[in-house]
Amino acid sequence: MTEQALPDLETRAELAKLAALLDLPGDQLTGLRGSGAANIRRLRRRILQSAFEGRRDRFARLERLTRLLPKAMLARLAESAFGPLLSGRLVGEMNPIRAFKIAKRLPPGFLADTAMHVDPDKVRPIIRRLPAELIRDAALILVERKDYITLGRFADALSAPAIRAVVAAVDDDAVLLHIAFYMEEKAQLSRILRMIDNDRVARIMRAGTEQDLWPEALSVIDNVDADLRGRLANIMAEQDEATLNGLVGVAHAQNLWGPVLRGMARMNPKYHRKIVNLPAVRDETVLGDLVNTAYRDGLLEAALPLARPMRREWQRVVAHAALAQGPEVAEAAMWAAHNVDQWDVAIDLFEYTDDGERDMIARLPIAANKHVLESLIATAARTGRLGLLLDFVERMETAGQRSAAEVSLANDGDLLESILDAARATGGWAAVAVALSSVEADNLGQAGEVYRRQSADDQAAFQAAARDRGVWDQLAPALEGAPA
Amino acid sequence: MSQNAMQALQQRLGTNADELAFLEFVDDDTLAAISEAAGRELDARHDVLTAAITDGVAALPGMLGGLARRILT
Repeated sequence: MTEQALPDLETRAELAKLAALLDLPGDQLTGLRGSGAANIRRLRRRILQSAFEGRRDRFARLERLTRLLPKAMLARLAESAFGPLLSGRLVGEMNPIRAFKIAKRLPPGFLADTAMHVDPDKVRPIIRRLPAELIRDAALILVERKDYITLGRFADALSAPAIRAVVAAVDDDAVLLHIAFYMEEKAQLSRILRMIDNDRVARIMRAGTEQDLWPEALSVIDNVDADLRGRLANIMAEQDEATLNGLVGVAHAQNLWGPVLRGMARMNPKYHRKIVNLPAVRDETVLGDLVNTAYRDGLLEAALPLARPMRREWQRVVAHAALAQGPEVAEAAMWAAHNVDQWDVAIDLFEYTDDGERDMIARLPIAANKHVLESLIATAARTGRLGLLLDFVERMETAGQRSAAEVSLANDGDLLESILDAARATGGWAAVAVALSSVEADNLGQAGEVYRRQSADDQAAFQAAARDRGVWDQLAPALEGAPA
Repeated sequence: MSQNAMQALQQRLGTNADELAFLEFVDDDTLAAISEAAGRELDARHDVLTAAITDGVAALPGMLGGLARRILT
């Protein structure tokens, strides 16, 4: 069997739950890795549903019979006669209020045993009403058994006092991370974490970094709302360099760049410099993996700004790594730069590219898009990088060169003046000449006015370059013609 | 093989082809393992439940035990 990449965190949690339900070793379910968490969850719930449907009509009838019994007696019978399995099935048929009144009379050990035999959907309203101390004591028994999956199944159904009681009683922060990882309704994680004091939340997240539980910690970060995600990511970012280097290794080995990038997008930007310049990041394979994940998960817009605080030698590596992923990824990265107005970062990275890479970028469809070029050229002008832009334009297809030339002629040719200044400084006259030659002669009036304002030396240099490229005869009438 | 395993699983779970359509893309070995394990798990639960009913009913006092036996068995 070929080695498959590890699936995303939610799929991993679902695979573990299914393996536990079916009592199968995890490696027998590797064929489900690409199925997605939602599908695996549907399969697991369907199996559970089938299990709870067996003889359900009979339990419903038995439940009707038990309504004749006083609650105290029924609680005693639950323990002495029915046992956890029958009680679990009976409770699923009961009115939640009545079930709660019986359940609160039962000892925690019995509730812990019964938890494995109840239909979670049926007992949520009951669990929410149970006394916090009873929930806490039952939870501690399940913690003792390391039954994190059962704990996770009910965690989101607990009341605020019950959550606080359980968190206060469970001293091992790693246990809480395990429970969160297997939680059934992770949309409730934000609500739950807000019930826990900040110091304890910080301790829980640090447990992830200190006890090799990065996936569990990242799963928490990835499932909370944006504001909380930022706070939790900041806690992680405050760890020392060696710890964070460990995170990079785990993210790379375990396909976890998605949660890392989503966390970084929300953390305080002051931590970005520290993280993106970690020694473990400066690796073309690691960065290629990161770029690919960002592309696949639609996170390029979040990832691109992270290149800004990178050291130059890191930027060089990331530029090569990104372009090694091919034109599709490069096109998407360019669009990301445009969408989040990060052309200055993209230009920084372009500086480190080689000839082959520049040719590839310059011929992408996006390089002919006039709106994109307006933004790119304006940024290049503002940051004094027009010389680099000329190199880019010279490599473009004709359509891109025409768009670039048209953009430069807008606003009375101010931009063209700046571009000619850059051409003078870099010897990039040919790029300007070739680009202008792709514009209809009738539209070159503005170019003529700008050209005629140039010094004789500059006009001569431009002419020489245009002649060299075989476009001077085409340009001469518009550029040398008498002003209107 | 995969078709048989899939049909067996769907039949066992009382579901239709649409609900678990994603299983069509799962390899035969995995599908067979799931189908077999799900069947085993459901059988085991059935057996455990049967035993629990027998024990539970026997432990119930007098008339209640009789009624419960009549309902559950």
